Amino acid sequence: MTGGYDERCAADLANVCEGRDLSRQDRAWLARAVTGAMRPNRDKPLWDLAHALTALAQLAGARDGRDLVTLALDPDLARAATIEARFSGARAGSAEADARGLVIEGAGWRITWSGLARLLALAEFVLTAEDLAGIATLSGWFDELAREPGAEAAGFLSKRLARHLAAYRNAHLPLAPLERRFRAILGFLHGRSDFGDDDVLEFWRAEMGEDERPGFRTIAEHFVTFEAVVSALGGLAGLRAAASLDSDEAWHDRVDTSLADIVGDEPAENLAAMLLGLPEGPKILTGAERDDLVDLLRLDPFHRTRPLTTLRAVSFGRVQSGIANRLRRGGGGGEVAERAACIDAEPYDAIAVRAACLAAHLKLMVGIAACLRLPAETADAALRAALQAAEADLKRVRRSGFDGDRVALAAGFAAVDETLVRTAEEVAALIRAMQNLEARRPLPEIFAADRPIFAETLTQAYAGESVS
Amino acid sequence: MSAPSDAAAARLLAELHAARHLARGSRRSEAEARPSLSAAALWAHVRRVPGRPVSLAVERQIRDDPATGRRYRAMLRSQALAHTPLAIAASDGAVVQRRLGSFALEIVPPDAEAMALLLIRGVAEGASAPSLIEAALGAEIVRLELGAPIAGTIVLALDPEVAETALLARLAADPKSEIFLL
Repeated sequence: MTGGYDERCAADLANVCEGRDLSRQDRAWLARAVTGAMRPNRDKPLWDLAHALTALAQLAGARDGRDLVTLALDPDLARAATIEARFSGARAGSAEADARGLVIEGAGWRITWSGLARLLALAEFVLTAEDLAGIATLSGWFDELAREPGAEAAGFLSKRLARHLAAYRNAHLPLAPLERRFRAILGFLHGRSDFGDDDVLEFWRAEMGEDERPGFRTIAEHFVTFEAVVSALGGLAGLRAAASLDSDEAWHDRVDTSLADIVGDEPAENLAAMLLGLPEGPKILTGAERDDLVDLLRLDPFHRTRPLTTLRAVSFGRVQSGIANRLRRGGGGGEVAERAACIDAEPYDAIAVRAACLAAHLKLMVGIAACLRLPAETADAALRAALQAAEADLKRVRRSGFDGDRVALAAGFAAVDETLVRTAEEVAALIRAMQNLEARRPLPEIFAADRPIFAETLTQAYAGESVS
Repeated sequence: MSAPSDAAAARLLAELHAARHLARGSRRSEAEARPSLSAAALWAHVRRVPGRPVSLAVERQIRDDPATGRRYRAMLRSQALAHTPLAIAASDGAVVQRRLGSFALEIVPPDAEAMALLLIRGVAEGASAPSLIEAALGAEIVRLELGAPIAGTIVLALDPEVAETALLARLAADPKSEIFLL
């Protein structure tokens, strides 16, 4: 996998996120806790979890590990407000629940109610991961904690949990290739933090000389992350300071906030996920239209800021994934050589036309969504005219679900209209960015210059397969 | 050659890259398979007390959906003092014996004066004694409470007139069934 995790890990995380209906911020936090993207200490969440369980064991009078598992999985304790309602004001042993959250006296440890809700989500993750493979071991460890809940037991449990999660990461999070590639990007940029479209291209070409032959899109995704991280942490110096694990304490919270933003704040990335997850209903978007939109917007924010890299990924990225698929299926020979020559690569102006068609279709659908949602009688003459036009458009659409029940159609639109509006905005931004690019040099010229570069790189990289 | 601080920076970048992609994928589309029962619902069923109401929907899922059944048994095993994943039963005549960890399970057949008995031997003094027994074979599951041990042995009368004990007698005698002591 190119994302640094396997399907098992994705499913383990999705089970917890869905089961607890976690917010986007909490999903991002849990993802960071799982991959270790926490600083200054990668395993701080596990230290906190062990202490939270120690406090809960005392406040809830847990007799054994089972009682702690019950607390961790309890759906009534999935929200800060319900945890607070249950424990606020409680006091037992060294644990106390004050107005803000849990405290362990003498240990100098505390956590807010919302922090505790996240920790319990992490507890559910470690308990249920890998089809519950670890639950017996973990509940045995919890037994020991429940017998003598205290600072010593908490420290011991947190070490055990850290080892447990490290083993999980070894098995399900192949981060080494990503790490190697980011190191190569840092070396390639020679201390620069800004880069251009041609840097992405040149770096990809260098990587294609190695064994892994990463996709152009995969490399572009690395640059997306690199840009987001460097910008959130205030440049390369900020990145190095955050990563060094020994920054001064006053800085910790700021680093944590930045890391949370890097993972949690990516509205248009979620847009790709939203598009792929659109519910069944009227055929507002065909499968092909949806896939095209995801293809165009997937490198967010590059569709707005680096249209050329977006065009390259859409056109030549597809050629390359075609070759990779062909090789995976055991093909080779002449066909690979033919594809590598990029004769069939989609020209950039054709992609621009395709984007314009999608934009027009989205505009039509957004109009129909409005006329289904708003009353036709309105004092605003311009709005009334727009709604009437949309009504006429609606009658002309020949797609499944559009000719029947108006109530069902309206419900189908209501479920997706927010996604539609946001998608329309992003496609419009892409089109503007491409127009700015075109203003400097015509798209066919740029494509004509790029094609031989991609053809040469792909031909060389896949030459071994072409002759076989 | 890259600077040493690049190694730490690259590691953080890699962890953030994976976290971004994971967080994005953490809301799956409707079509994808997902467990039909929450971990909490399964866990509540693992910890149920015999005689109290249980969710029939949960029971049905465990019985009918193999993946749910596997998750349930994984939870149950994690809590059992002992269990037999497979029969290590030795059957001689009317008496069935099997070993479950440090415990020995034995069925004494009925005679003219007494009904059949289930004996669980080997409860060491001071060690925790099982308080529940669960037996399962295919779609059939039964759970019963156990009394306190007397001289290291727990005794349960298998009344043929009571549906649960009759079912336990049948399942315990079948070498293919799985037995958990909780």
